[in-house]
Amino acid sequence: MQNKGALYTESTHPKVASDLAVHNKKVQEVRSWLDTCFDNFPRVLLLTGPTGSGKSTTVELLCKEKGINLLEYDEECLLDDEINGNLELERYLTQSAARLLPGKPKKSIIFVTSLPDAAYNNIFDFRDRLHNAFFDLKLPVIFCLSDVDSSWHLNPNRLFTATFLQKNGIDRIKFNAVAITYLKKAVNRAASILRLTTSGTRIDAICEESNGDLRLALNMLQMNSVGRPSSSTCSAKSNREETFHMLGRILHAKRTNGTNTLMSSSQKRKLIKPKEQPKSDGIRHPLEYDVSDIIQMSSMSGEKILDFLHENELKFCDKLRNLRNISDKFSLCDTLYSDWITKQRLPDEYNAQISARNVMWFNFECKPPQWCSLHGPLLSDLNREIRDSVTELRRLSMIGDSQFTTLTSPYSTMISGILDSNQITSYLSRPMNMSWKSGRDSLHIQIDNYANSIYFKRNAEKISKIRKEAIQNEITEENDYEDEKITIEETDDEADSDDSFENFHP
Amino acid sequence: MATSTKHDLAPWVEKYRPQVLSDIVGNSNIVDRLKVIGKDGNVPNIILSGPPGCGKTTSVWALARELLGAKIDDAVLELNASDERGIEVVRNRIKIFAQTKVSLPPGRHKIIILDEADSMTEGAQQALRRTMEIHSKTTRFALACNQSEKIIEPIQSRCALLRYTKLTDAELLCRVKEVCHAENVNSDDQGLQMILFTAQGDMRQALNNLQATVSAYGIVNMENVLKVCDEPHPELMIKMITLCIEKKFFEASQIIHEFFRLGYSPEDIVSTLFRVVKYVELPKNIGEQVRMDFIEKIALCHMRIVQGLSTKLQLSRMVADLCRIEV
Repeated sequence: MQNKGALYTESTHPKVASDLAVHNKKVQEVRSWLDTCFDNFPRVLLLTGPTGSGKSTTVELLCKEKGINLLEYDEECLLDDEINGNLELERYLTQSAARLLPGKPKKSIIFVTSLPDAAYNNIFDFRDRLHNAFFDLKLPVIFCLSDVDSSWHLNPNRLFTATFLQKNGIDRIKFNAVAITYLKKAVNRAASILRLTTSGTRIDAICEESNGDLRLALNMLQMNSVGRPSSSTCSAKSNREETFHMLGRILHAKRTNGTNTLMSSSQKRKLIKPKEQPKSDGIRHPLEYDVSDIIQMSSMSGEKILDFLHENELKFCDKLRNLRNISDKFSLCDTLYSDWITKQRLPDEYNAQISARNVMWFNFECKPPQWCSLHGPLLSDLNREIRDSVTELRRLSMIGDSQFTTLTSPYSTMISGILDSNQITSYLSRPMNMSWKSGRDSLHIQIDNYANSIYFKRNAEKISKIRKEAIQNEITEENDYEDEKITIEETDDEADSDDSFENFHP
Repeated sequence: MATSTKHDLAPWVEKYRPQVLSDIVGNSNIVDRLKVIGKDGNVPNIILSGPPGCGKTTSVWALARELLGAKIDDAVLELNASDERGIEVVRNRIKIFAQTKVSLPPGRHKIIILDEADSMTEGAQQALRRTMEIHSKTTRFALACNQSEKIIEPIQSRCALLRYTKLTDAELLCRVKEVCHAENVNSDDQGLQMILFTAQGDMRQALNNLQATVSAYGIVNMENVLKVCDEPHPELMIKMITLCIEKKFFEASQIIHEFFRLGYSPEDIVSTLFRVVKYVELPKNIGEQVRMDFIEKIALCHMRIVQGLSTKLQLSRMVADLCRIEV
């Protein structure tokens, strides 16, 4: 009762790290980042993952555990539209330390969970300002952003490209959607904290429905368990059951018995089939259920019905001829919606009507296996996989790096025998944006900046390690190699580039 | 007297909008759930998604009334698509409302109703996310939308999703009859059937069409409804289909040409034909297969029309196709 009036997501907030519904490995990753983020130079972390995967909760809990103070950046502090949100963020990042340090001896981290609107509208300005802010960062920063797959505009990958991450030495940790076992554990835990009497099957249904989003699962739990336990079922679950039920009706294509008495399906199968089958051959009695009703009750889009039927039809159809006919109609449905404009304007119901009616017609007297589970369309699984790997690929440095094929790759293969090629790649693509176009003066400034840049300091450790290894190997010529290609890359000022390289020697 | 004339002018959709949850027809499992919440309070943030006219906004308001009682005027903010709902509104109006103090019993919250939330810009939705989180102790959101996919994931994740479905004809008919009775409407069965046919599961449209018919002609019968709604006459469509089954091509094409001459666009003609074919009573000896093939031919024709070939020739071709189907 103490939780009356609070959202379940808040009243069941985990108190200790072991309560987190996050994979231990990920928790460990964040933990070790928090351990090192204060060393030498403040570091920057980009934490991404699907909604409700426990990103911010993990950070909050671990910081509490370590006694780190979280300074949450609140975009709402600016109500005036005249102020540039990106500038505000830059100021916040660089100045908050000065504001807070004298009073609080505690370690602090800046925690950014939402970006100003201006960041999405003007990404170049946003990147520039962040880049500037990183130069005189006093405190470590965590950007904690949800993956927004439906909208590229709000997608963190649009703002934080691989190149940008590399250029500024931003660390990245990626959370995954909560695994179903963790999800069930967490929801059960919440139910026991709140002393809910929600049945186990309902909890399972909620977990499956929520697609690895714990916050959504808890909201659904709240929706379905507020008040006394009632007989009415959770909407999401019942809808889902309904869907499969309806698909079953289409695929089984049950018909009335000629007479108006309807028997239960099991009875029909047991008693009537062996005798009546030859007799009923050829006579199709009216369907037990109206097709339009079934389609309406399934509340699925026509496209989805077609996909589902296509996936499951093979198990039901027993004659090759029928299967050919049905596949023919499926492909017709597909052609109807072949191009984008037609798809937008043609009513979606044709898909459902044609596919369902044909399946019901041709599945006449088919003998499906006794226990036959319906599967979701395989195609959508494959599509999801493809989408995942595309996003995965996009994050690789070679996609974000425009010079990958011309410079990075050839050199990294040339020196691959010497050192770890990944480290060399990251060295080669270090922030030095210079070309013939930028004047000689600006070049000097850039190089100076670079020498003082936080990136350089942050990576000094890494690079000194590389150097050490190189010395251990006692290979000197290869170092010459390295020098050489750097001069090629910069193509302008050999002396300066050598200087800058000198700085690497500890 | 003054109030009654005012009531006469009010749209019936508003006049007969259910005020309590138990009056809402359809989607019973969701409405039952809301009833429990209405009694016990502590409503989570919710998204109600579903086709138009299935009772989303009505449910939210009824829920708010049951939760808040007399406080409803102070404790509910409704913003719909006609209001400006850019990022400034989220920043200012919604935030200020969320910050105002209204004394409510425990377990009750202020409610912000965002109607047609899918028309909000992504930026505004993104800004909403934070407000939702900060003020969750005092304020809950109810978002009504036609497609939940248009709501960005961070918002979806913070809400419980309630999926409404189209109302069935029986549910519609029940309510339409109630209204007819209350308004003393002179109606016949066919007229009501036509109201349902034109409304297609949309209660708002059903009541609007009913009122329009009554105020124009006084009597609700098939002819009047069709005149008001300006749809191709389904009776003629049925006649055309029977002619096609009898393979009388010329008579059938005469009917469809007449529709064309009357100024209906081919798209309208075809989509009405589709709706008719779905439920029309076919002669006993003609079974599902014919209906199935009919739908297929109509779909193909509709596709061509949608792709730009909206000519009389295509309609004639469709009739020819329909006539050719083996019965």
